[in-house]
Amino acid sequence: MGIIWLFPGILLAAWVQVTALGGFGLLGARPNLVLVGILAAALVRGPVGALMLSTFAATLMAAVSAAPGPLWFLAYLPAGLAAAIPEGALNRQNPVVVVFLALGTALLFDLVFFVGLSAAGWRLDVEPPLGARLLLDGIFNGLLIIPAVWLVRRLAAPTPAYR
Amino acid sequence: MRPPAGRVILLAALFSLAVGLTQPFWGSQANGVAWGRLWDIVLPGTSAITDFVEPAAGILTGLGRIQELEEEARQLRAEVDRLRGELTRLREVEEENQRLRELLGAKRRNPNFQFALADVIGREPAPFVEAVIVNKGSQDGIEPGMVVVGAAGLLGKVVKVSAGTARVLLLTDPSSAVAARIQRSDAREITGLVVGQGQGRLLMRYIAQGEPLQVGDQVVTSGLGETFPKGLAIGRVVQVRRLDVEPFQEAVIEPAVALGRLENVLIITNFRPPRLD
Repeated sequence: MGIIWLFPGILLAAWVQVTALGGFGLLGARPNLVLVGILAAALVRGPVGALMLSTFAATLMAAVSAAPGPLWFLAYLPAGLAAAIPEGALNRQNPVVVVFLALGTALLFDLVFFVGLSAAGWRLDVEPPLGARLLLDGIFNGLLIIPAVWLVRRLAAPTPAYR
Repeated sequence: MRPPAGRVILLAALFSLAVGLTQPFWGSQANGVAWGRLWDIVLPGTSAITDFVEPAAGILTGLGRIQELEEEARQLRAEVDRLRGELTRLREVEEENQRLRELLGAKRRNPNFQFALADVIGREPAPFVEAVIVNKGSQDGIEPGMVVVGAAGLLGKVVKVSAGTARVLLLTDPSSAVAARIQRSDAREITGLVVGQGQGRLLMRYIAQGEPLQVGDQVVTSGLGETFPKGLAIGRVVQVRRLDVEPFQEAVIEPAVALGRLENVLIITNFRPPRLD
């Protein structure tokens, strides 16, 4: 199946993120389904497809969010680019590496917002301390990434070039 | 030698007639009592037979009606499911009714304002931002800066609007700040600035050290700065933080509106903060 299926998938994830997951939060942290989806797409389909998906997701989220729109494009970018790291430098078949990639991209996502919102004049003396919150966000995404990669493989694994 | 059949039939008919004609007189006779006794003996036996036969007959009848009974059970289960759904819907309607009554109360308490009722349809997906998405937008006359209230008090203000939706930055967002005062019956004016702390918490800052602040004091908007109308409930003081070395004391405020369970809000449409540009 093609990457086209991932677009409605991301739309669904965004909808769940805004509605059902909106009220959920552990010390302010919550799973980031859209980010996990983009990272899973990057790992399965490569950076080009993932960047298309991240642009689509950022457009969706910027439209619904009170936060400045450009932050969404910047925040999803690292996940989209995760697959651009050469395979030799990072073994993306290793589940531990995948989990750490999810954790890392979640941290970068939050940092982009923290820095971006602060630069835009938002006052952000957040509780609990920033480090704990970033870690929790990362753990949520680290737990979700393996099932997400499995799902994306089922939906949109690339067709082999040989038969 | 066999008697002729016609004569036997005649005798039997006469006997039956005789018995029939004398029957009304049996009740007063000992004979009648004996017949009654006979039934007393026979009837319990009859009942035992009936007790045995009737269930068996019922089972046989039931076997014959099994398809009909299955259909009836299926219909009853469907009816129970439908009624359960109806009950859930009615509970939902009752809760909504309650919420709307409360909002109507807020409307009556503030007769000078015009309100637009909106449903909360989503929550802010960005980290560090506490906002909700409501189903009223520019096509309903909603503009950025409009003040949003719940049944019990101030909620926040509209920060971004699209045609059919608006984003409401909650009071508890760390970037929110409202000029506030303590509501007291005495003439004393205790003022400060209520700022969001995230996670549904509020803090009142810049309260002069000497002011007699107490747990339970009600906090309302002061109207200073004209960003929010005067007198809207913000919450109540649950903790006072006082340090002698600090020039100001602080108070932890419990929001008047339960921000975690927001479903309907009121947007004040005839109060606009002054534009700074």
